[in-house]
Amino acid sequence: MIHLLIERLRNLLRSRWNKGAVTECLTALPVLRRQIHEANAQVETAVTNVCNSFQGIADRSQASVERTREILGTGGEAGLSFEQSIEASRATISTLVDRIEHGGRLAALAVQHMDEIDTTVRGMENLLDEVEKIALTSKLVALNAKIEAVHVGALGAGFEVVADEISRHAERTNELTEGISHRIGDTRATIHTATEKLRGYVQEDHARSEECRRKAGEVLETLLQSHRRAAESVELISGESTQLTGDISRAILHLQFQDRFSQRVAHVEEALEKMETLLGQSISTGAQPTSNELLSEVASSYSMQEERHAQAGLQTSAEANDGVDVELF
Amino acid sequence: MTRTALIVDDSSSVRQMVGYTLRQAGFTVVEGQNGADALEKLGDQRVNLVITDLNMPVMDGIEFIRQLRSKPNGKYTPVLMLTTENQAEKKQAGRAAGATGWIIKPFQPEKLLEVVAKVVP
Repeated sequence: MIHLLIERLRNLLRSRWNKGAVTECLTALPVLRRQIHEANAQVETAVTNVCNSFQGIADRSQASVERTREILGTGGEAGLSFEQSIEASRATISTLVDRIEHGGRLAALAVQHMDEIDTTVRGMENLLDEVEKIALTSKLVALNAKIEAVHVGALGAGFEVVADEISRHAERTNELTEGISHRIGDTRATIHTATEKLRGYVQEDHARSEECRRKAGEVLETLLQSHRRAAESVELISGESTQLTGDISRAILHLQFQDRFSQRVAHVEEALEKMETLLGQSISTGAQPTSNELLSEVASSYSMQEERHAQAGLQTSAEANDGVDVELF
Repeated sequence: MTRTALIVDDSSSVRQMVGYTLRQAGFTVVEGQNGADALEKLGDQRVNLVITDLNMPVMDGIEFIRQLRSKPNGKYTPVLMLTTENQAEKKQAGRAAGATGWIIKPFQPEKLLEVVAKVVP
C-alpha cells in the first residue's frame, strides 16, 4: 500500500507542480511515515518474540536432557548409577539364594544324621531284645532253682531265697526294658516324622531356589536392557538437542535481516521527513526542490552497501554477508 | 567463574540474539539501548566483554568506546563492534577510539563465539 501511495505522489508532482499539489503531498507524507514506522516496529517485536521463543526452546531441551541423564546416569557423587544398582541387586540376590541353598544343604545333612540316629536306635532296640531274653532266661533259671530248692527240702531254703531274688531282678529288668522300649519307640516316631518333613523340604527347596535365582536373573536382565535402551534414547535426544541448537543458530543468522531492514526503513523515514520539510519550504518560496536536496543528507547516513547501490540504481544481491566478516585489531 | 558481557544496540532483537548466543557460552548479559544507557548501566562495575553497535541514537558506538576507555573499569575491556557498517574510514574510527575488533552483521553465532574466545581470556 505504501508503494502505491508513493507512486500517486510522484504522479501528482509530475503532472502539476503547484501549491495545491504540494499541500496534498504534505498531508500524505506524515501518514506514510507513520505506516512505515509502525510496520518496522511490528517486525522488530515479532523477531524479538521469536528470539525469546528460541531461548525457551533451547533451555527446555537442554534441561530435559540433563534431567533424564541424571535419572539414568551417575546419580551424582553420593549415589550409585542405575547399572551399578542392578549389579548390586544381582549380587545381593545371588548371596541370598546361596544362603538359602546352604540352608538346604544343612537340612540334607540333618536328615542324614537323623537317619544315622534311627539306625543307632534300631541297634539299641536289638540290644533291648537281648536284655529281655536274658531277663526271661533268668526268670526260668530262678523258677528251676526254686523247684530244685523244694526238692532238696529244708537245706534248700536259702537257695529258694536266692532264686526269688533273681526272679525279682528279672522282673524288674523286664519292666525297665519295656519302659526304655516305649521311649525309644516314641523317639523314633518323632525322628521319623521330622526326617520325612525335612527330606520333603530339602527336595522342594533346591528346585525352588534354582527357580528363584533364574527368575530374579531374568527380571534384572530385563530391567538392565530397558535401562540401556532408555540411555540410548537419551543420547539420541541429546544429539537432537545439539542439532536444535545448530538450527537455532542458523535461524538467528537469518533473522538478523530484521536489523538491516530496520536501518534501511529508518533511512526511508528520514528521507520522507526531509521531503516534508523541503516541500513545506517550497510552498512559501515557490522553488521546486531537487532529488539531490531530498536524498543527499539521507545518503550520508547509509551504513550498508545495498543502500548505496539502491541510491545509485544498481542491483544488489539478495543474500547479504554470510556472517564471517571479522577483523581483530 | 561466571563472565559478564555488556551488549549495546538500539535494536532489541539484536540484543536478544547476541544475548542468547553469549548465554549459551555461559555469559551473564547486561543490555544497553545506546551508548549513554550502557555507560549508566555499567557504572563502576567491570565486565569481561563489550559488544556494541555503531549507529545508535543519543550516543553512537564510537563515542561510547571513547568514554568507556577513559574509565578505570573500561580501559582494558575487550570491545567488539557489531555493525552493518563496512566502510574503511568507519572501521578506522572505531580502531582509533579503542575497539578490539570489528564484526559485520549478520553474525553467525558460532563465529561470534570463536572471536569472543580469542579476545576474552
